[in-house]
Amino acid sequence: MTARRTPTVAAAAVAFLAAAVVAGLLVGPAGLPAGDVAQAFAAKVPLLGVHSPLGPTESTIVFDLRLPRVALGALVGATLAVAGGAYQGVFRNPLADPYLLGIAAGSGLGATLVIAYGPPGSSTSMLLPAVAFAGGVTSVVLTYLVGRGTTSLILAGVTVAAFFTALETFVQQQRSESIRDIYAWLLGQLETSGWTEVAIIAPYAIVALVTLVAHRRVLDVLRLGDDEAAALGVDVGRVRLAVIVAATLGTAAAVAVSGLIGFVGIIVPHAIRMLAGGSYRVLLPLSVVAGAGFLVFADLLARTVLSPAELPIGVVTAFFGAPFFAVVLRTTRVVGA
Amino acid sequence: MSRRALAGALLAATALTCGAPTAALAKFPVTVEAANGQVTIAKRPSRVVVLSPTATETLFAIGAGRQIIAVDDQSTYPSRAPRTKLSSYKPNAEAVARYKPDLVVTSTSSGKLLPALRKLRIPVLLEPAATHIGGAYAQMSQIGAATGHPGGAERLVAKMKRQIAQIVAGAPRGRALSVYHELSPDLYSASSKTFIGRVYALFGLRNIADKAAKAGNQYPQLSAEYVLASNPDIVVLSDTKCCRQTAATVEQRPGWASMAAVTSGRVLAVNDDIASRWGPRIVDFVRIVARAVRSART
Amino acid sequence: MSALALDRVSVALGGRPVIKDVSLSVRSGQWAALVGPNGSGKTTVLRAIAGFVRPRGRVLVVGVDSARLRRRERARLVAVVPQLPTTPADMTVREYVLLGRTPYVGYFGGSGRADRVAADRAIERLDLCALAARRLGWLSGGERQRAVLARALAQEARILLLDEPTSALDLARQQQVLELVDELRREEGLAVLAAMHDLTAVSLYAEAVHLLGGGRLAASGAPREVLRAEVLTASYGASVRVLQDGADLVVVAARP
Repeated sequence: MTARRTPTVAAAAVAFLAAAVVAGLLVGPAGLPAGDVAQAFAAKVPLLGVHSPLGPTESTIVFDLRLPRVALGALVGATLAVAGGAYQGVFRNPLADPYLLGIAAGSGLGATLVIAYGPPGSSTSMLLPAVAFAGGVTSVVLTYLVGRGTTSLILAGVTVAAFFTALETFVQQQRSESIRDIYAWLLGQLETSGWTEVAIIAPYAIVALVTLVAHRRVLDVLRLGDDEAAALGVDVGRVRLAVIVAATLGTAAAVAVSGLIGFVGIIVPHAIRMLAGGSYRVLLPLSVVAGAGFLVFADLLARTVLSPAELPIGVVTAFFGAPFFAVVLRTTRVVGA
Repeated sequence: MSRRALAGALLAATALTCGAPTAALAKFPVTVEAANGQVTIAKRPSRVVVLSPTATETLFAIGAGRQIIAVDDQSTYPSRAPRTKLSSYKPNAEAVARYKPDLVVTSTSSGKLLPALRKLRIPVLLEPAATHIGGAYAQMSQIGAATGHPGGAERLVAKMKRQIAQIVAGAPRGRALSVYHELSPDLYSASSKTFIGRVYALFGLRNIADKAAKAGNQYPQLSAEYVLASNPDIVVLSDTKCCRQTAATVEQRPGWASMAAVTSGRVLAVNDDIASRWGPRIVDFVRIVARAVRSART
Repeated sequence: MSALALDRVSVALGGRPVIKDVSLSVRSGQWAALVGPNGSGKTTVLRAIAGFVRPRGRVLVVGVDSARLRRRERARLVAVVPQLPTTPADMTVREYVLLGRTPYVGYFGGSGRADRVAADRAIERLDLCALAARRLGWLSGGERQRAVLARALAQEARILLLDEPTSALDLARQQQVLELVDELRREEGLAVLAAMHDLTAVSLYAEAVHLLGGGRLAASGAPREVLRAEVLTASYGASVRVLQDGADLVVVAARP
């Protein structure tokens, strides 16, 4: 069992991302011919002398709607996947996902408060992402204060999440007119209008991605357990804190901008693990690439399957997630986390 | 030109203009004040995309039907409206842009539709759910001005006001009556501060949902106990299309068979659309309520 | 100067004292055994030296108070082989042994040439060359134990702590491991402190024996001195007989 599959898997992941990006740019409800879109991109390359065949409206569609949306999908997907993978490493729990420490509930509560009590129009202003971000970070801080050590952190996360979810439901009942908007947000969306959303998430996503990928070797040491890792000179508590902070920042920003998109953070690292082994040195960078590709692809499906209506992207990822888990359950006897 | 010829020409001109609708007076560019602020429409729109069933009904009623090229999948009335698969709930800007519209009318502001259409330089009128009948009239005027049918809108509003006044005046006075308006089988209702609630208020009906409603929650969910205890004189079901509720199904509910409205046959099953849209057909709804009031007070 | 010295070390866990005033020392190249019944505190002594618990008293590692050492510095001096090491099934032997170089590798850094050389040397020393690319899940129990030792060796530490190194192995494997450790400590000059339950093995391999009873050091000295029937019976509460077989001692259970 010594197959060195990493380079193959890496190449496949990159190809997957490239294909997803290209498809995401060429395909859409506007029905623009793929060749024209490709030409429009070529026209952006200086010195090639190619002219764009698209009119101003069509250009806007491609460059101000589709391109930022694909970029957003890639950033969010990469961040959620690597955060999930890193959490699996730091908690040694294959079921860990980026929302483990209560972020989903905290962000959800923040978003609910803005949609329910904010001035009209605030759900499309900057207020919503800001409060959702703050809510997510707050819940993780609370979890960290309540729990210490591995097991109790997870339990603390469950407790905090339960509390915030209860608050959220209460607010929804009090302001029942906002329920529809709240659910729309909760189910996740990658809608863009220009580059605002990308600009919001980019700094956090980049910090999170760089930090977490940089920790990949340390996470491999952590596979030996807290004690053995400490005996090898690793400050386990500090590593855990660094990973949690970086993952929280990235995930909170992702949630603030795109709502609660589930399954990406579990499926992608697991798939990579099944294909290329459980070493975090390989898993984290590949999760970045595969996570980006997966979400761009899922968004493509969300936009086209019921076109011109849109499926909430959380539904698409769940659709992949459930059967995936069935497969994992049946085959996980050999691969450990 | 001789004076007679001039008079004749003037007469002919007058005949032409008097017979024609005052749409000829519509001027472009026009700036309309909608829920999303001031919207300027440069010239008379001929490719209107409508993402609001209510706005669709209004547009056809004021004579702008021929300028519409696409309506959302929920715009079921009138049946000749060009229905597409566009969603009014979660609209996709790209899909809308595909129709190359020169005006979009929508009732929802959630999501990124408005900023996206702004980027695409497509004028958008946001006409959200009205909270009172006057608001509905105002929306009709805005839509009329924006599509070059200010006269058509004016006439529609005048007609509706007249008809509603007539119906209300014609309804008999009598004892105080209470009403329960049902939005869904899990007992979501609408208070008198909602559009539908205002219609009941026209007849002086007491809305049992008012006790449970408060700011931000004008569509409260009532408990079965409360509804039974309030024993409303009239029950209006507007969940007939979505959830197949009828007087018969209501009677089956535990305890409901003994309710006053049920025993005296004053459970009205109303088409969901008529009871939930704030367009021209509100008159039909007023008529239905009047009939129930008449039967309750005679 | 001894490589490892404990000076009146006490540890209390959850308010309850587990070990009290334990003092002992181990020289470079010496094999010292920690013996005593279950619950006597053997593992806790090892954990105190490894830095998992903070003891009262002093633990001196190559003459330095370990409380003053940073984690990485201590890891370069003390290697621990736990009773049940975690060996991720899909990690290769080489990757696993390389983990032993963690104390020398930067926080974000990867292993350098020196690290790979040290790991390869350890792999060769433990006769794992043919298995270097195999995954830990596909190794036999004995091979896996060798991989664990290789990892400890790659750490290039001065002190080797072993917690029941033979408890899960059959006779042949036990012998293999003990012989290996003996070889290593001679050739590398390691100070070995091993918690052991097989008293006969203790007499065969250890040069010094420290007997723990109720958290205290009940006896210290050469095997001949400590492994005496009356001492053991008092400590273990079991009936034993100590037989002489040439220079070796054999400790057996006896019917009471």
